[in-house]
Amino acid sequence: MRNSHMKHKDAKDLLFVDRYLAGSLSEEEQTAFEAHILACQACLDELELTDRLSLGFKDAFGQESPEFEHAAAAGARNVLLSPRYATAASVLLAASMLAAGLMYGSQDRYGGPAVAQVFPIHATRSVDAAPTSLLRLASPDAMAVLLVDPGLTDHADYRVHVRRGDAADRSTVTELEGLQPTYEDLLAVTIPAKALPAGDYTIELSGRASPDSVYARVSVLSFRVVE
Amino acid sequence: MSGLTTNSKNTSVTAKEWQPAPDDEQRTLEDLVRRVRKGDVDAESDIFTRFHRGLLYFLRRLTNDAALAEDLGQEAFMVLIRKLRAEGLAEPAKLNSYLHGIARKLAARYLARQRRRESAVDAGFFDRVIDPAADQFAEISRDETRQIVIELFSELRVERDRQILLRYWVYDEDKATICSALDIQEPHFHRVIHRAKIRFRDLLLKTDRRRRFSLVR
Repeated sequence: MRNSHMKHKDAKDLLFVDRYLAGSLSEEEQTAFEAHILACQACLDELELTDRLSLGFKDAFGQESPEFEHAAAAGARNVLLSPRYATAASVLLAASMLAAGLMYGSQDRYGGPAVAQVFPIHATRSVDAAPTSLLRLASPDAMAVLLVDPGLTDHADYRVHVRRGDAADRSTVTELEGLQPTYEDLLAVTIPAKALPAGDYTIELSGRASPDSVYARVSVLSFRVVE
Repeated sequence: MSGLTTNSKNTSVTAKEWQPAPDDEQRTLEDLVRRVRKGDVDAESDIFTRFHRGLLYFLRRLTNDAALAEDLGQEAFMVLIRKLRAEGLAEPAKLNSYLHGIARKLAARYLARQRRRESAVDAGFFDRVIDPAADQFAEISRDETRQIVIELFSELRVERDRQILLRYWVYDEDKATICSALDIQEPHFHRVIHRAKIRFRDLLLKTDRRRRFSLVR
């Protein structure tokens, strides 16, 4: 910098607030910016706001948050620790938001969102044909986010039909159309835990080449909800 | 340009060294320094009001200790005022830089003494996020802030924008990495971050107003 005296326009145009908080300013730039904020209320306001926002995000969605802990308890800890799975975390959190919206009437305004748990649904079955994907739901108020692999198919969108898997009970739990892979080429299906009492379930996955064509079956998966 | 003399019809300008015209900020600082030198206590108070909040932010960030930041801030102002009363300042426009330098040295001296006293050094000492409780929205608790962030996040309809915010503020990825991973351009990244900040401020103001209204009632 030409001299140590920084103007507000320079600080704003060169995004000094974000760069300062990220620690990516040179020593000279940092000194000039720190001297600048002693006198510039606008930059100071933005710094404090960004600090609060950053901390708020970590409190809400970081490793110490209830949302993360519940997802980790469901076996998704390694998934959520990596930024590569930011999309997975986003889906998980979006499910939490959905649950919060659904339960708004029964909660205090700041009661916090419901728990959402992520469950990858595996395509393989064991030798005795029992489901290998086991879901243990944290509470009846939780939201289960099922991650379904459409395989190597390439369709415009997918339909997922979740049914009870017992011979005596094949009732529909939920049927969703128009799904598209959101991350790691997986489909995310969100179901309230109270709709999944203990037992076996099947997921019939269908895909279609275009919005005008009919759905054709892709695969059938299964999972079991355990106590 | 030095030693330049020009003569036009009605004016003549002679300058040994050309200086840019002082802006309002510079004139204000020059005026404050001059008044302190003359013993004007109100000017000393004006300097404190002008720089106190920014100085505390910087010291809190440096020390991660709000009470220590207050003490060091008071000491820095005392050093500054004593200097201004006795000698003034050669470049009044750099008053904030001078104060920053004093504060930095005081903090460094204190922290060096602390480190000598304590055998274990916390490697993450300077990396902690400072407590926002002392900022302009001090009445809004950390838990309320968390709820506001959740509300902000839930308003986002575009999956990629949610990912940008998560990667930036939860996973602490840098801009280049995020743009590359999500295949987006920098201007889009900045737009999303900027909009999030604007919306966050709006929600904080709404919460603050709601709180004040309920107190008045």
